[in-house]
Amino acid sequence: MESPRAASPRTLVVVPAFNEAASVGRVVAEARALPQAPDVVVIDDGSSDGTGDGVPARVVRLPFNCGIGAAVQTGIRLALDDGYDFVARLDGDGQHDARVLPALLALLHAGQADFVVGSRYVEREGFQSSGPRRLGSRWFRLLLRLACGQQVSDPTSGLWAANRRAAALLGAEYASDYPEVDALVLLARSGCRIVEVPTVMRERTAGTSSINAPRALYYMLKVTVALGVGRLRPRALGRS
Amino acid sequence: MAIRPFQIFVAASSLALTALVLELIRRRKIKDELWLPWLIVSITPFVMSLWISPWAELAHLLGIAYEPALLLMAGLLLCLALILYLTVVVSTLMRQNLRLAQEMALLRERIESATGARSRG
Repeated sequence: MESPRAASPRTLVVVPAFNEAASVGRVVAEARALPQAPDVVVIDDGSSDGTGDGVPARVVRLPFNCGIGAAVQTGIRLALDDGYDFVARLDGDGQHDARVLPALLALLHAGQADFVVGSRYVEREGFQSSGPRRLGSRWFRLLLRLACGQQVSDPTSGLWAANRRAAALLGAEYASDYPEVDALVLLARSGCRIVEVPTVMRERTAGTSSINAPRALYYMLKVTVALGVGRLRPRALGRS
Repeated sequence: MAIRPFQIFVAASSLALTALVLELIRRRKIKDELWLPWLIVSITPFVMSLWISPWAELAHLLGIAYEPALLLMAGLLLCLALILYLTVVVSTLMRQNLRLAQEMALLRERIESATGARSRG
């Protein structure tokens, strides 16, 4: 286990991974090489390829595949339980560039935001997702504006950093699958300040994406219904 | 009003189902929270078949020419209500199962970190 640093704010980087043995080691190495050297935890979401074996980080192994949202939420709960000040997410497939994390965390350190999203659409550099996925993102942007008046250019981005207030909300309520848009609505409706930082995404270095055409359609339908129903729910309180 | 064959069939089926539910409750095969909705669903057709005239009048009021169709519709609605209730129960179990998996994974990581052991589940 990594040693806690008492004085400076502590950050835990959560790396959810499902059968990403080929890429997760590099993601962890990149995160640990950052100037602040944050602690890293890999959440192995029931992999069968030895994901997490031998990586220089804490590894939490879910007993079976629980879904990306449940994996991320496990990391968030770990961060809350262990008293971390900030929690960030980097996907285990290597698409997220860890070097952008300091920019995200700087906004949290300065108290200018509760939740910072790394957006690939602010400056439109690097790997841009497929046409249908961009269309989906456009639809989700519209939904977000309608649901809570929040402007987010890349609502499906899995690259983010949160302070304890936002983490507490997500630790209590986070969808098991396709959680990103739902989470933004929850945070915005709870009064969290959401800020975007431009980032460059890479193509995945190994494995295949789980989002094919039927799943993309399910994603859009599921999130649309969840947002519609979500407006009827009482606001979440989270745990501190 | 004379007893019609379908009434006997509905009453007999309903009683048989009720007997089966009671036996499953007796053997503790159905959990406490779930036996009440099953008893309601199984006994309701029997009660409806005993007092057929109010149902016949209701069927006429609703414009249903074939009165037993109302019984079938009521049975279908009861089944749908039961499935909906079971969906709520299953959803609760899924949520609790997920929380248990998360807690178990976190605890295992803490134990492995403390003891220096490393295992794969």
